[in-house]
Amino acid sequence: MPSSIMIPEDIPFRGYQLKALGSFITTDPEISQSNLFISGYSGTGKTHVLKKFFELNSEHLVYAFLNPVELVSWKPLFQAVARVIQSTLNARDDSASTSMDPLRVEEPYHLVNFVEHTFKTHSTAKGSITFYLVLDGFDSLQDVDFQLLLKFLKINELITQGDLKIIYTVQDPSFLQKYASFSIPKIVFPRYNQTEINKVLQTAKVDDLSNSTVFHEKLNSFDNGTISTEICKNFVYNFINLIVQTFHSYTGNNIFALSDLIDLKWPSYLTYTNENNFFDPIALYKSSLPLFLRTDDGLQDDSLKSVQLSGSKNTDQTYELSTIAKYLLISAYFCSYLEPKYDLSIFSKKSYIKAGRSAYGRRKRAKTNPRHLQPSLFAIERLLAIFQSIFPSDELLSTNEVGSLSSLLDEEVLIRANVEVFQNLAELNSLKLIMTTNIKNIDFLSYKMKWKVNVPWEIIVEIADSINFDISQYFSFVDE
Amino acid sequence: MDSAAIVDDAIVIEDNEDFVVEENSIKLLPIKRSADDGLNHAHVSVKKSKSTYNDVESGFRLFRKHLMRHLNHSLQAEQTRIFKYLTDTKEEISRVLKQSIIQKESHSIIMVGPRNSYKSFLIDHELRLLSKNYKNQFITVKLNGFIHSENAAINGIAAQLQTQLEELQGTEQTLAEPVLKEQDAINTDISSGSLTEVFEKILRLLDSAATKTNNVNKSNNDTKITVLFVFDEIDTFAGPVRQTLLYNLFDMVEHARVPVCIFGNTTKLNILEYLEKRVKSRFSQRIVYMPQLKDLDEFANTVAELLSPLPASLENDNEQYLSQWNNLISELVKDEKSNLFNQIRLNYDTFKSLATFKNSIIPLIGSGQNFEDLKLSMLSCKLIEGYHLNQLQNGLTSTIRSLSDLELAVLIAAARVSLKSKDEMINFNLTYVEYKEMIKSINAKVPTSSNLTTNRHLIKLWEKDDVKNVWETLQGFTFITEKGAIGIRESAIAAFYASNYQFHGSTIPFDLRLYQMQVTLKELRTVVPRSSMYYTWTQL
Repeated sequence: MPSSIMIPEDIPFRGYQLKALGSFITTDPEISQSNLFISGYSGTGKTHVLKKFFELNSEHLVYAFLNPVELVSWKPLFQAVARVIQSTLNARDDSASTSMDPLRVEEPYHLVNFVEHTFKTHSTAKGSITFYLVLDGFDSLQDVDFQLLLKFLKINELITQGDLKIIYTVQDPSFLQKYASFSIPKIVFPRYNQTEINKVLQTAKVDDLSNSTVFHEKLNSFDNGTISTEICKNFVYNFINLIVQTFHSYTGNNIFALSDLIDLKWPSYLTYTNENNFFDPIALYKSSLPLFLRTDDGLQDDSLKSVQLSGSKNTDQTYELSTIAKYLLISAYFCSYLEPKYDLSIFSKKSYIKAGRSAYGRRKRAKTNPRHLQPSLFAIERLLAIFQSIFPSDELLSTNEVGSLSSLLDEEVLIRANVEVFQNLAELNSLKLIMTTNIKNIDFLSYKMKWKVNVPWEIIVEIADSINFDISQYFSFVDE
Repeated sequence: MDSAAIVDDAIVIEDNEDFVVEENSIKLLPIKRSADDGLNHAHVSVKKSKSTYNDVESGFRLFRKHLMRHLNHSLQAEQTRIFKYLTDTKEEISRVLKQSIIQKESHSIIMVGPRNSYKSFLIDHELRLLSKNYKNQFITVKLNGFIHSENAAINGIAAQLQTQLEELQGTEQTLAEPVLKEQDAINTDISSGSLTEVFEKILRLLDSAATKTNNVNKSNNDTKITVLFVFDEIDTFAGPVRQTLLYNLFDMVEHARVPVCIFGNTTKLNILEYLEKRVKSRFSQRIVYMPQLKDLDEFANTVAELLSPLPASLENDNEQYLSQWNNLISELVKDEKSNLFNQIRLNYDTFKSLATFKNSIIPLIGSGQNFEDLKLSMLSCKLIEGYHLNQLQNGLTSTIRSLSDLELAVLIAAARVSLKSKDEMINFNLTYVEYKEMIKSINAKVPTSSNLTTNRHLIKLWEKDDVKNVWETLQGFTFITEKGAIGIRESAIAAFYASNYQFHGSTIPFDLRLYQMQVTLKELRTVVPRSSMYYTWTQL
């Protein structure tokens, strides 16, 4: 008499999935499938539903969960499968004492032998063993390859003692499409829509937030216990609703992102709360409006950013580079994004003794902003030339007085490529701010070596600002 | 048992709306609401009703179980129904098996057919039938090309031979010392020596076992034990290098004193071209191509066979249900207007796969609460439709429909950039510029009656840092993939090489990385609803 499967019923929006699970997973090994795919993107409740399902039926089903994402490669995965099967079965009945070493499993077929032996030692008590193994997130195994799943799909055919049923949860649907011809039954967990996500978040978070200490401290500051828990929940409910409505387009239907935003903004939302607007959601929303204008999910202080935008001088810089390195980086940016044929017209400042035309420069504006594209390669000499051109002469320590005879003697007001310049260049390369063509076995001294800058526009602007260098005037040829 | 009460209960077939994606408008929160009034919509309505699974009538439950076992082909061998279109093939397999097991001939045969074409099923079925009468006459060694590498296969053969011989001899209670010793010796140093040496050991083991049983049985010398090899995915053993295992096994068919029978299952039609010359010459050239269903009628009849278990094999308790059920199925399959027949035709036109049909029918049968209920759902076939609907809910279309407005806008912007560029490459910078222009020009069209209200009707232009999150989301849904990405590798060794290689794309800044679109703007135009404000942007 097979005992029947119970289906948990308190999981919203997953009625079909639970019903299908109940049809595919039974206590009777002869009427349940040996492989089952659970497909769904992140945050669609796959693991939650499976856990609930198995917990409810834990009396009748032998099962274990395994997270391939922690196991990185195929060999640890096979060993972990062996280990978890052995330990689960040992925990269920302690009569069988003989154990094999799971670390001896070094090939797929060792696992077959291992499982068969383990099932054999445990099956003596009451019939053969049916074991449900949930590989939760099979495609998030880092070293996953096409043939790995095939090995698991066929393991059950080689096991003669007992049954090993495997349930795979997979996030990427294109992964499962590669195995479509095997016709493995599949249950899809679709993404929640906005209404559903709202309800799911409410059920998951209302208790958490309304029982938080921050909230109770806040309540106690203006109330002496007259507010009921229902009203508290209502308050939290409104907050979650606000967050979902404001940031839904930013996060999409991603339940984890929304939940993070709720946790992030809950304490600051409470600081806007007082006894006047507690019962007036609209007033509260209006007073806490800054919270809902920005996502604030960067790790840098956003207040600082707004100061910077308003024009005042920002003292802390993105990178603590030397002045030479900063100029080198700027000139590398020029080299990568300005065309070499216009260099002469942009950077040439000297007057000519001999007759000759200077370059005309660009005639038309560029159609696309080159800064949006990938950097182009340049030779090291061009970098040094532009560096010399833009490096300010007053940075060089000249002890000579202006106009004196000695100042006429050392005409070297332009910087030379001295030791520091090359040191700084090498350091920029090791910081991955300037890159070379290939990554392995670089020969810096080769004449074939080409370079490129590896810094986006936003950062180079900050660096230029820190040394009062107006970089944007060099890019006036594109419309902004 | 009151059937109406059960239908009214929580788990019934009718409430399958929840796997239809709700497209209706999002309920806006009434923010203006004094906190005192009741929390009528704060709670998700939870169905508290008890599951009815324990109340299922036992006779019906037995019938349902029998039906499910029939679907899964897990019934006893005599009760298992072989599809009509497979009978010829079944006869051929049965003949070969009987020749090698009863008459002790050596054979080799390769079965070719697509996945789920019942290759292993037929062999297993015949073996189960034969094991009733000739249990001691043969040993089966099963190997799978996915799981066994060439070296693992040798060990696998040795291990399976040993356990099965022990079983055989254990039943006859003739565990003689020398045999055991020899087996132990073979087993301990089975991995030593070349492959042929190991094979020699295996062969010697077989010989000794055969002679041993001969002595016990005291019968004529013909009663040797047949060794039956069943290879799944035999093409993986027929790789480009060496093919030693196949060579030796096929050689055994030709020369060994022990009767050996080799079954190879493969999906490759040109399996003979995989084999080396020396291997091919030892193979018996006998290839069985699995039959395919010819037309819709045959397909429908086969589905009927799939759905109706053989009669008169059940206890009396279920007899009534079984005959009723079989009658119902045969009626439905004959009626070209029935829902079931529609589903069959749909499957025939698309998959033409019995396994797919089986998968879709299992939830229908599994959730049947009583016979009437099951009959009704069979008539309507709603659950089969539901299954197919559910299968599609992860596709590109439904994923696009599950995007938020900002995500959709960025996706459309990316598709526009891809269409404009020569090599269909996009990056984050270009996409953001396109997105900005899109929003700006949408906002410019909004009539501005007064300066005060402008802000309220405009669409928010999200900052670049915020859109980065959306960009990564789109990447997660594989709407955009990195340029030249290979994705999942074929084998473990290729994945290993790839993990040691630092890719160019990962070293350059986030917003300059090159991507390719997986949906074009034209396709987006067909998916995005006309009512969407971004619909006009789905063409250049």
